[in-house]
Amino acid sequence: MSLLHDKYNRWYCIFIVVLIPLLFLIGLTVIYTQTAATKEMFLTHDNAIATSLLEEGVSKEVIATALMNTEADTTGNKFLTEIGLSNNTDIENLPYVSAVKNSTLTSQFVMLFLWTLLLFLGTMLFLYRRERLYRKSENIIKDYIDGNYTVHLPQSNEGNIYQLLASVDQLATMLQAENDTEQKTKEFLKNTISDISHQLKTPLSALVMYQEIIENEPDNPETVKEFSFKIGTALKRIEQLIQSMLKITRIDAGSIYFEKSNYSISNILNHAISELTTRADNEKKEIVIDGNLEQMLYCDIEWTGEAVGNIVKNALDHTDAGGKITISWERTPAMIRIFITDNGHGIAGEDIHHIFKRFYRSKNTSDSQGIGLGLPLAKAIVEGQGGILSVQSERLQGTTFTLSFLTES
Amino acid sequence: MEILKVQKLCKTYGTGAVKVDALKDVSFSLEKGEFVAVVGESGSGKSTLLNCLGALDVPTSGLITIDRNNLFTMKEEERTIFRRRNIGFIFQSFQLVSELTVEQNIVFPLLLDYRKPKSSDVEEILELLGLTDRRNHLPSQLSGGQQQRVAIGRALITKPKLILADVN
Repeated sequence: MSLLHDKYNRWYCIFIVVLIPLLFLIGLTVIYTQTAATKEMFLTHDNAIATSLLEEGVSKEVIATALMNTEADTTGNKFLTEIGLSNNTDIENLPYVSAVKNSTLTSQFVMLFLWTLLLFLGTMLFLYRRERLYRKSENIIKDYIDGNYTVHLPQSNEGNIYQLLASVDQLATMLQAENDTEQKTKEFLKNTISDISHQLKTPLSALVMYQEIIENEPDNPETVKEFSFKIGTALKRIEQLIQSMLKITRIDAGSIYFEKSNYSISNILNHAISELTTRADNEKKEIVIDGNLEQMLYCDIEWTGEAVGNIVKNALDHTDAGGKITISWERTPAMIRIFITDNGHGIAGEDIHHIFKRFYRSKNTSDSQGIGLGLPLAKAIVEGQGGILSVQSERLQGTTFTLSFLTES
Repeated sequence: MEILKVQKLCKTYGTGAVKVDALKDVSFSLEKGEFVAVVGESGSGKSTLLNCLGALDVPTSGLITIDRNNLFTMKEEERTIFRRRNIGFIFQSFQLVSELTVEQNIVFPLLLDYRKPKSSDVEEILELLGLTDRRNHLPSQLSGGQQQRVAIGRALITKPKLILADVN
């Protein structure tokens, strides 16, 4: 009986269970008083007859026989009808009977009235308690509708109604979480759009300026050459930004299918840094690859190469001339880990938790080339293939990025 | 959204010379959907913390709020019901009921709350944990890992706001 798990239902049922025997008790009392009254009426009536007959001088034996007689007959009936006493006689004309009727009626009425009052009060109390709970819950649910989740429905009680309220409360919690996520997504989208427009605006306004200069000075080949070169740089920057954006959104949207296969790690690394060695040479930095050349990794070579390339590019950005970038790897029974270590500036403590956020630019960095998408893209690629990208850094000592992949088995 | 908030939690066992501070001024908070692991050496108070969070133990001082419900302003009975509906607990030693089958063990928390288990939920959990073909086995007929998965299923069935797993 799940109905009885509710506290108030239980109390109400106990109340009813107590009231029912009370009703029986009332019935018994009424029967008892009625019997007593009937007996009294009977005796008074007999007394009246006896008194009357004695006054008429009828012998005591005859009266006693008459009063003790239990046999009723039609002759008696006929006589009584003649003097106006039959079943049709109005009770009001029989003083004794009407007295019994009145006393029974009064006692029965009073008791039943009290009993009904009790039932009514108990029921009202029960309904009032329920009503109060409903009203309270309704107000709280209205608060939820208005977006106020600081209140709670009463839910830590047994019973169906509290289970219902607990479910509603759960729903409110979910709604609140959903709202929060939506808010965050909106905020993120807003920031992303402002970042993108900012990143595009700078090279675009430069482009407009360069174009005007060339247009105004078409006869000066030196100027045309110089600003054409600058236009090229600005365009490359825009292209790089758009490419990175597209890649990252495609990974986000899940429209990228990683074509995984077994490649040797040295192969992947050579693929990744082929375009960076020239830059490293120009900047007098060294890229060292150090590890077991036979070690294979199950991954998508293009995308993994892109991720490693971005990390190495980031390392080049943050090392001084003469810096050294080491790429090494190790295999444990569970994992293959690739370490990309540089001996550059390191990452400041306040930045390290943000470097994988899109468009995040450290306040401490002097470099203005980066757009803040390289590392987020690398992270998206590694995680998209089921790996983990982590970072450790010591200020002025250098930084190590670790790409960890579970071994396939 | 903050689902769990712990403020200045202290738990002391014993008094005088045998006094042990199992927890001292622990404060942290957890977002909904967040996953956190508590790591520490043996005897560092991990289980004590988890028992306090799961309302299985009463801290000496401090505040724990789960989804903005203060755990220790509730009456004992209310807390029991709150725990049953909002917290899933996976015990170190599984604590399965040895007389009940896998399926019965999983739906047990719902039966305690006088609720009827939804068969699709039960199927989903059995499927998720790879226990579908073991549903009628008794815990004693299962391997340790399988028993642990039953314990996980039992923590999931009520769709709790917070799942606490005491595992080593």
